[in-house]
Amino acid sequence: MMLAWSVAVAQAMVAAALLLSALRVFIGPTVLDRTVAFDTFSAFLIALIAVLAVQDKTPVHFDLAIMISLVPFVVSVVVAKFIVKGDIIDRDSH
Amino acid sequence: MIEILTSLLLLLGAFLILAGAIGVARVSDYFSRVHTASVPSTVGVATVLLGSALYLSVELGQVFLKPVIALIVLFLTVPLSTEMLARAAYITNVKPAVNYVRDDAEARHMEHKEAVE
Repeated sequence: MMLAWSVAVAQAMVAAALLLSALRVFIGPTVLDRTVAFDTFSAFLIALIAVLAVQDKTPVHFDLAIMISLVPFVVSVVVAKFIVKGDIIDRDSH
Repeated sequence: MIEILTSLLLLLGAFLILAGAIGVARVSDYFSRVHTASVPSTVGVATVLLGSALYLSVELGQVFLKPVIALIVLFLTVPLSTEMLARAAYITNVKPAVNYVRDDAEARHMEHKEAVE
């Protein structure tokens, strides 16, 4: 009973956090702002999946959490290298 | 007992996440925003993942290590990507709202470039 209430409250708080970081993705003035906001958005999505696993009492959702945790790092590295160098894989330096 | 512990961990993590998201949405300076964004996506998400793993391990009578893998991946990648994004912003001349008190990167001759859009 108590766990159901706290799961509902935690879901509402994480959903509000997802909306706020999505707002920063929309209004962020530069590409770097949007990338940081997307990074936090994916991390909050992992937290929402973990709360959902407690609610459903299945460990199935944890595979999804691992897969989502790998994505934002690749996005951040690609955007940072492209902003600085203009090229993602530099072929000149050996 | 396990329900109380899980509730505490979930609510603490959700509070950290909501505070960090308010910071990401409201702070007007890029570098402060990067600083605000990195704490909830490591510590807050780690708290929620630990609570979930603990509850399911006790409830189903089996140890689950998949949330710990996701947690280790987050703790390895989030500081790296945050540092790379802040360095890219410094190199492409993004200015903070209040000017630098002391610029250590300038003293070590880090160059500035134009951003590629």
